[in-house]
Amino acid sequence: MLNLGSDYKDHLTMAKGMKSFLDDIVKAQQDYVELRYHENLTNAVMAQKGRVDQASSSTQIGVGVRVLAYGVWGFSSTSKVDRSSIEKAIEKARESAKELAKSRQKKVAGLRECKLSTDDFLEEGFESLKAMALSDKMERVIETEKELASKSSYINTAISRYSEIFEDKIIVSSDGASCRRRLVRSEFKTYAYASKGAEQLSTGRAVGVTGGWDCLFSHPTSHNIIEDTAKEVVDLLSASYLSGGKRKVILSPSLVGLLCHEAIGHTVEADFVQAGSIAQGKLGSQVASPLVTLYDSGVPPFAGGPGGLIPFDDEGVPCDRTAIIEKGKLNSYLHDRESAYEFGVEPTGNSRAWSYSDEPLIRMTNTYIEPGAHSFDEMLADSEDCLLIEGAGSGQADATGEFMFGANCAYDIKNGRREKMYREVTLSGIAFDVLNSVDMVSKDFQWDLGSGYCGKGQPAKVDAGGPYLRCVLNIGGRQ
Amino acid sequence: MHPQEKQQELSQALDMVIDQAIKAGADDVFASSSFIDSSKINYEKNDFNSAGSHEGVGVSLTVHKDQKAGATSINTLNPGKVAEAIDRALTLAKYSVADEYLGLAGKSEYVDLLFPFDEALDQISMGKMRELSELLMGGLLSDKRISIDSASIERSSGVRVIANSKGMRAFDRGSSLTWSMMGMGIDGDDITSFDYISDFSYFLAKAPEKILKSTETFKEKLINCLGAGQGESYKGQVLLSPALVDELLIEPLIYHMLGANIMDGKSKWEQSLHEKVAPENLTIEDHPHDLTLRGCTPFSGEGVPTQEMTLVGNGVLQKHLDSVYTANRRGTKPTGNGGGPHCTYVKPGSKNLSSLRAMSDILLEPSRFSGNMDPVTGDFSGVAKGSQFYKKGEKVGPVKEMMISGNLFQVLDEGLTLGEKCFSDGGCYLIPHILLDGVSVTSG
Repeated sequence: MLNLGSDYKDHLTMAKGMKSFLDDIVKAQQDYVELRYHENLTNAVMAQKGRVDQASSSTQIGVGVRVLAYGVWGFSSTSKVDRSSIEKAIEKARESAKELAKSRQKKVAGLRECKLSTDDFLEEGFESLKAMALSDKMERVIETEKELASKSSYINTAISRYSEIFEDKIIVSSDGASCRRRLVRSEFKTYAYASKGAEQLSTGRAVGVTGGWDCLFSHPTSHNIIEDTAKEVVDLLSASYLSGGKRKVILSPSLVGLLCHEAIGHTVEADFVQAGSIAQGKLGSQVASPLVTLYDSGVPPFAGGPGGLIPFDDEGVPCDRTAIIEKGKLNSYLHDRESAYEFGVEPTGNSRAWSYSDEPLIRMTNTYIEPGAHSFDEMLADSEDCLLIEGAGSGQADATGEFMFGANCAYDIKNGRREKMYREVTLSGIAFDVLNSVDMVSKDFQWDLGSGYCGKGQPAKVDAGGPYLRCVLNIGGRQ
Repeated sequence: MHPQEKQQELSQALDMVIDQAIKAGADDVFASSSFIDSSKINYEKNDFNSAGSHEGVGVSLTVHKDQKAGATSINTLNPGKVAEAIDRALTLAKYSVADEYLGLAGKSEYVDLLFPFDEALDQISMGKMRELSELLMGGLLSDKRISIDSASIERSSGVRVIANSKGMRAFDRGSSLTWSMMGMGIDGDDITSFDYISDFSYFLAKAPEKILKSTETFKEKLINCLGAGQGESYKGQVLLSPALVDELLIEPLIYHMLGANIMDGKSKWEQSLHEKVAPENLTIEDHPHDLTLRGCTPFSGEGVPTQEMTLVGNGVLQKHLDSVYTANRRGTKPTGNGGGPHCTYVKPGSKNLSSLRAMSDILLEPSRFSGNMDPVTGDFSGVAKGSQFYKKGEKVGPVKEMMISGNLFQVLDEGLTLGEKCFSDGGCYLIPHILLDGVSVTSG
């Protein structure tokens, strides 16, 4: 039985002493110095057509160094985790800051003082998933692919993929952060390609959580992942195209999550706000229907191991819950300590870096809309001449709030039921206009973007979700 | 960085990796190692935000054992860690599924590309980087209507060595300066969509001129989008920039040429070799040795020599593209571009831009596409960002909230009209503007 955790124990032993080692280095520094030790172990297995196309394991270890000197940030990183290399990296970062200070117009005024974490956080699934035999994980992937391929004669290729990222991160700063967190992000994905005559298409399902095996496979998307993928790809073979135009729609939780993240969340990241996003100057303004309350939280109240869970951010700021929109009014931006100082508010725990060689940026964690008062069935019964849109595809948005999302499929709603199915669905609109058009919010809740990665020059593991939401937006389609 | 010393160091490390893996029980081994040294200046929040540097190595290996494969990667050359990585790869292989078609590239001779390695660029100081950053931002912000969300200049120097237990060994090295900018035009309440461009130079001396050219191009793109009005919905022609031709036309067509997709039944072109698959005026080539383009290389990632080749000639499919594995499986030969062409050329047509714009009563010319392109079906749908609207060849102006959708294969049936000049836009291609027909355009 294979246990990939065995060799990993050596790293953990080393990491136990790492915090005090880094604390000791930081104590000797004059400027603000922040050290981030990252140890990421990523394992991935993918099966396709009876083959194992991927069986891989990657370990990346290093220290990222950030120095605030001469009113400017300097950054450096090293994969050599010894005192001399780290001190050399600190010096390089300081020299870079000194040079850039000659060009920077407005110096960094300060970092917001706040309580910084000294916790040692061990996520529940970390040890158990590490201890689980990889052969068992591989078997699940191989069997899933086989079963999916056998579900319909129309399916010509099935794919199944599992991945896990064990993150061990220690953050130490010269003003008091000294914390460690160990988390595992696990993901499971299925794809099916189907053909009928000359017609050929594909669809997929994906689930991602912060947590171990049980957490991953207790997620609602996991429950019938094989059947749902197979049924959807076969149904899509006979689905029609929509005609384009403005439509009333009900968005599923995954698309509500995409709306929260792409169309709203990015516009309220304080660095984007400072660069002139649509949210600039709108704090306190009614930007959405009073039915809409939208949060970002590293430690949200809804269960299910959201994919962006973090107890504290990469500056060591403990995470809480940030009400971005409260009953339709724009209430807060997302901050790191620098932007919080400039805006005169508390930091929101949103400073994050993907790897040791990345600089921390303001990033979302888990972004969601609070559930409302209606059941999903009540929404369907109340919705005529309306489309139900399901399954988030890719999404992009401008700082202007203009967004575009792909969706797996759409259905006409007739007499409170799903009717005709449509394929190749894309949605667009201006985020605040769409949120202002919201007239019904369901009381369901689901995280549904945990398998996704947010891109902002570097990846970040995030999640998003919410209830079903009825609103008006543009549907891309055929003329 | 001393590239020859680094190459020697990495080469020795790979000898050790291959030797140890074979001793540990592997039947065959592929390994690669790289060293990268970079420095970067970021502009964010309307000011120079940070300056930084990174230096690191990477080692990755794939072992074959009893016709099963396992792969690992680490970011150290530490012998103990290398030994652990080998063990892990072997253990992964043990639990994998046997596959008789696994294989490695054989020993080969490669074209000597004389890759540029500009020592001045490699040794650039942070002070010189700062001067170039000021040049970039000065050029951009000379117009008060330009708002830059983020911009950066990055110098990167690196060496890569790949080798396998069949005697294949290849290396390349390079240094480059890359710059990028993302921003929007703002004039009072009038805000354009975001746009983005990037470019690069292999030589420090040539960088300032290219940087200023990028800033002028970017400013023009953004300012041309100010004052956007409502467009009109129609079905008909859309004029694509070279970048959009690559994204919406060429990349999806290449999907159907890949041996990996053919063997898995995902390609429409399995039976189409030497048959007409596109209009006669479409010729797509791979020129992997063009040093002016990103992506140029004498060998593929697995060590197969690259070569110039016609992929689609006058509308006729000339090649399927195979890796060592897909070639073994399909009974063909590896083409050195199993993942797709390294530097894509599309042969130009005869129309200048004005003529292309005048060919239609009503025409949308997007700058960027934010949407979905499904290569399997050929369906595409999304928002056409930064679009200009033309009627009978006369510019009406910028338009907002436009969506385009259609099907690539139906569009090919309608025919293509190609521009007379090709552009690279700092990318891995040389492509002209192309006029597509049969596209649904919806005004929001």
